[in-house]
Amino acid sequence: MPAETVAELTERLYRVHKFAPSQIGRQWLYRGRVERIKMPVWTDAGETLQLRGSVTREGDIQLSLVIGTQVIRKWHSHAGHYNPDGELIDGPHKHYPTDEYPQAKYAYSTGDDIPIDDFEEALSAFVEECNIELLWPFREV
Amino acid sequence: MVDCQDVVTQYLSFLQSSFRCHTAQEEHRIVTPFLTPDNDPIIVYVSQDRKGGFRLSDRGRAAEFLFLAGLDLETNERRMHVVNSIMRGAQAEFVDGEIFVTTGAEDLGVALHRLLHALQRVYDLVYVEETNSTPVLTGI
Repeated sequence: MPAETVAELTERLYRVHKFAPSQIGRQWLYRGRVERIKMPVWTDAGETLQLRGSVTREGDIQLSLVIGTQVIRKWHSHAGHYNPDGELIDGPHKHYPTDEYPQAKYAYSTGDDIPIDDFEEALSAFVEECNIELLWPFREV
Repeated sequence: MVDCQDVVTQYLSFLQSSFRCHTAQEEHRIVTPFLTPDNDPIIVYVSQDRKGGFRLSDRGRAAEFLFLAGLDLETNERRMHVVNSIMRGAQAEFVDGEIFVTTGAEDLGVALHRLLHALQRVYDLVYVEETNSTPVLTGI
């Protein structure tokens, strides 16, 4: 069976149903200016991904879904991103990889779909958009 | 053949017009024309301490970029060795995920250059890891 390209792999993993036991592996790390979370996410086929997120003291929120070191989707609450073709995304945006740019240089505007002023709400919206089902009530541990 | 100095002059002119400065709460925020591997601008923060010295910092943005790409720095000895090597080369510091340089008013330009040099090299660690993690992409 031929290997999937980066774009095929990440698009598939973005769309398939996934689940996360939110009370396991969710950890807050305090590094002075940034708080982080890192939690495992699984596909129904057993592939292991990770949901990662951070929020700065200034309220800048970033969330990502990765497999290994490959970004599947990454959301930034801050504005000011330029796509490789020169298009300006002047608002919250979600990065996605392509075969040409596996580092997720392209992004699209998320508008109001993901709240930018509350980390928990942003995380919940991102999880829903990424088709991740939380198996237990989502709460900090 | 174009004059060599013209090339340099044009480049410096381009750079000068490409930086954007914002000031808030006794701190400058500089949006540079340099891009992260995912095409966001590299941003530098400049603040002044009580003794008149300056601190130019990325406020942890490079470390967060790598973290969000699946790379943990502080818990990986090999990656930290590379980061520390970059810091020595650029005369910058890496503390709690933040990359910064401190300087006096007379050396702000050089300090910004050193910091940007360090930041670009740290951001680029994502490419090194990509090369080393090929089985992740083909083994599924």
